[in-house]
Amino acid sequence: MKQVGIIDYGMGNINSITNALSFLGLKWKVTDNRQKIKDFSHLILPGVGSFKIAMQNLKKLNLVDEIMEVGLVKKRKILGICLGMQLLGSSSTEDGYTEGLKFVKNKVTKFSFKQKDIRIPHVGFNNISRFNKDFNLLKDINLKDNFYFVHSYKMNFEKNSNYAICNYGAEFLAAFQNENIFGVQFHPEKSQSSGLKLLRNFFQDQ
Amino acid sequence: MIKKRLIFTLLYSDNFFFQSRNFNIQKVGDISWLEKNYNFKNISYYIDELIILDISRNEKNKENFIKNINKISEFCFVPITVGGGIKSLEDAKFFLKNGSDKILINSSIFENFKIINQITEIYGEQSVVLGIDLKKIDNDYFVYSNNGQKKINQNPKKIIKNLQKSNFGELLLNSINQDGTGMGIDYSILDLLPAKFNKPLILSGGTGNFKHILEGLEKKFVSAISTSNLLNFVGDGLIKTRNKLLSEKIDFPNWDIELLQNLKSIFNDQSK
Repeated sequence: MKQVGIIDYGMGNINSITNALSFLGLKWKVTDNRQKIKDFSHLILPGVGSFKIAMQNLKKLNLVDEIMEVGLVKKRKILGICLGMQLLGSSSTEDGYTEGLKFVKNKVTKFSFKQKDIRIPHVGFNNISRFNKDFNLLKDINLKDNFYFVHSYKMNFEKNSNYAICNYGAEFLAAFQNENIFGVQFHPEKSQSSGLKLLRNFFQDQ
Repeated sequence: MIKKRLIFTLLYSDNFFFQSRNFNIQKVGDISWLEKNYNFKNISYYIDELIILDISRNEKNKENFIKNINKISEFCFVPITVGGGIKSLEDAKFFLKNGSDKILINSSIFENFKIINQITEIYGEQSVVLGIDLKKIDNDYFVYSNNGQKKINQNPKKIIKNLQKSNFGELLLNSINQDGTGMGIDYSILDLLPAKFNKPLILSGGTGNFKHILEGLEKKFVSAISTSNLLNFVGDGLIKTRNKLLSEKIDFPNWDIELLQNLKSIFNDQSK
């Protein structure tokens, strides 16, 4: 049986994630306790807000080593959502320069457009414009599915084994998978049928 | 490309939900009424976003309010914006931690302007929606705060322009004159925006039928239309509206309601 751990490091709304997991019939616990991190079969790293503050909070709670251990050694599935996805990357230029958890090499930078009419943040529902066919996280998902995005910073593409691209002014990484490490820039828990489908895919054994 | 949004706004006060007309409010029922008589669960599958505002004029009870919000968010998988009485960073933190994805700031724009940047510094600019209530008197617009009770003696164009000195995510313009009338949206409020306004814009007040929503969403600078009219869209009104909008090729998300319902308890781990 799956035991889902949601890492609470004080950034953003966790309720909507737990509600979505309950709807799907999953058992979950919210934790900020480093000793509990290894007890879960699946981890969700949520988050909305500042990359810098998020990393500070993870360090203050002594969670960084535990998350790395569970992800790199124990190879448990980890899903980063929104800021949580960005934290899995190598660094962000938000509020200066902050190093991330470095599960993947991708860097996080701010949207910048020459066209003045493209608004930042990228807020609202958008579709995935392309993704590689073997990407099981996107099973049964097509260009008509929509996902809720809210972000001003985005993750840049970096040879991820599985990837999904979204187009907003320019292409950026909407989702990736490197082995057991998954990230989604959007909020599946706020994306109606499309999002619940994606969460189902993450938790289904493949 | 980014899709347009249909937003539903619920007005809440002391454990009950309300219908508003020109900001005069009428009690309709509590959360179980909303579910039983209005089948809100089903309606929530046909919207793209939910705004829930505490409009009580007495002292606000945040704990009760959030309990009501959480009951709704158990079955509502869209972003939820919460507003009403957010006066401090602590208030904002409380809602953003406990079930709200964004918060709406209205009266505090005039009473505690710095709160906007205090919140967005921590939670990002996408977490704050600024709400401006406008009343047309003769041919002039005036901004009102505190549930439409307090007139702000400043030029509305200037007020909106000054908002850009803060970091925020979206702007919601609401017409008090049109509110709850179902008589259509007042598009002349768009003239109050500065020329280089560059934030997602939500229009509210006056939607009574599918045509009003269609008209609004067809405007280039309008990102979303919000309706709070429980009665105009009662029964399958909102569902029909959404389907009609989709058939008019409004670039909307197309939700698969049947699939959503089939995903309920697909893992069955909770019963183990």
